[in-house]
Amino acid sequence: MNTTIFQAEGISKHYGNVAALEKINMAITEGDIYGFVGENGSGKTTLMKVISGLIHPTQGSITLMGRSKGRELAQARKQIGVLIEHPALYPHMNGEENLSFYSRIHGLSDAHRIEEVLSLVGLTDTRKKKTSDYSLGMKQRLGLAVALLHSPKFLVLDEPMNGLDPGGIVEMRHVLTRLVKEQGVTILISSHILSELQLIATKFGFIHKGRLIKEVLAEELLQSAKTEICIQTPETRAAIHVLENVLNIHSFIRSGANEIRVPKSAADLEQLMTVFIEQGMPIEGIHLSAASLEHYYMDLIGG
Amino acid sequence: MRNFLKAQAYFIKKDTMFRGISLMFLVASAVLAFWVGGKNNFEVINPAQPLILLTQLSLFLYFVIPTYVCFFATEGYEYGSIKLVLASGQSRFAYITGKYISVLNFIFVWLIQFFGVYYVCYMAAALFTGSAIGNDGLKTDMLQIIRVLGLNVLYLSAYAVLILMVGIFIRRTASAVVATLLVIFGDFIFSGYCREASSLLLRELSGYTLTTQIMKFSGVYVVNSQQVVLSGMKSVVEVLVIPLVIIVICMSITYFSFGRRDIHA
Repeated sequence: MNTTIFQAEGISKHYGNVAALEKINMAITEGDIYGFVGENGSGKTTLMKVISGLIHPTQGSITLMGRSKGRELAQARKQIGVLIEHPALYPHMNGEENLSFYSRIHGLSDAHRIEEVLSLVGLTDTRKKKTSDYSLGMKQRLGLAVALLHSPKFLVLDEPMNGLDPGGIVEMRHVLTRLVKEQGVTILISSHILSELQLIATKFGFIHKGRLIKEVLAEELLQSAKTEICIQTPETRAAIHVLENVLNIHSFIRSGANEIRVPKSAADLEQLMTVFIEQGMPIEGIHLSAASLEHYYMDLIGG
Repeated sequence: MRNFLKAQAYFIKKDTMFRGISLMFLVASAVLAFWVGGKNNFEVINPAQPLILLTQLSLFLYFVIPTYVCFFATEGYEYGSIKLVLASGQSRFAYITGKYISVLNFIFVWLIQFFGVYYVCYMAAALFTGSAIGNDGLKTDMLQIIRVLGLNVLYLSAYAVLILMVGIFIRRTASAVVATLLVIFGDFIFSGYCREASSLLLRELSGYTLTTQIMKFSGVYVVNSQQVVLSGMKSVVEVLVIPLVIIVICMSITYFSFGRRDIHA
């Protein structure tokens, strides 16, 4: 059985009358990539700051690697790596010097480790460049290198894909999945690029207005009612007529000039194909489309 | 804590502002050696005497060092490193204590550099110009120098903790620098302008400012054309107690407020 790396019990954070977090209960088990989804200001960063010890919760408690009290919790924090909001880098130092600074914070004396993380995030060639001259994407990568420096067991990443180019996003995805597979690192990650999050996360938590409204496993999401049947046809009006009048299906979306999406819960793929053939509809394609995290989230918050 | 101190030392070593100020102190102390020495033909009554002349100019340090302390106190917020330091399991108590110890370190380094370079330049010029080096009153001057250097360390430490508190409260470097300058010049103005004010309260307060004490032990405090120096047990106790009270109060407030505060860097 996998051990719990992080657990929040009834975490609330209030600023005056405003609740940034409201009674959050969640658990992340070893080896999970927990995708944290929510709009700006929903409380994602606040919870990450609570985990990192930057924010004192108004109520509730957290447990990190089985430790929840004072000094023990501080000891457990030595095993987490964080990248919260923008990367914390000194602009007058180069990439390597920034890592040197943080390696001292962690009491590391192994220069080899700096080489390793620089290579892992693909910044070996630019390590002597001042970080003030880095692009946003390079800063994000160096921020990730800083978070990985002390080989943490638990990574807390807040929007790590911000500013990365498409190649950088793919690279970041590979790095994170490799860390989980090869080193057993557990990750809590938030991102607004939901399609990307969907590719790596094993579990999702949806937060809205400070409340954790739903948690779902990646497999559950795939098997959920949100899976759709995509029908591609040049005769969309005729297809809609068939759907409404022959099959009595009204919960479909016209998602393009030639495409209609029908929730899998409303129809059966075989039945649809049979009826369309019987009606002589020109079908260019029909297939099952996995639930999109984006749609799932929008449905959940009623957007 | 030790790791944090090592990281802070590394930051200071790489900091361009620290390097710039060190260079400025280097040049200033060398220029002062030739300027002060040139006025009296590099006369050396005793080997300690050149430093006596410089101690009267040590007020200069109080305008530069606290300003750097302000930058140093707020750098964690400015660059966001405070997030990673605290997230790495360092306690807030260790963060503040580490910052303060680092400040004391560079105060010590700068004092040694300022007085050391001045002394070396002055004595080298005296030897070069063939000035006679006497030995009159060496013991008295040595004691005076040790006392003034010690008090400078104490007063710079008091200023540092005051500015550290201001910086940690304000967080934003630009605003904290403005507040620091207000504190420094406010104390300076209070000491100077209120010294001869008609209000008894203002006169009393003026007598207890940090600048007044610094000027007293540096031998440049003048009231009604009379030089006022440290004399008697009361003034010695005052000069020691005032900075110690400031250190205790400001440090307690900083520990307390920083310990409870949320970090948004």
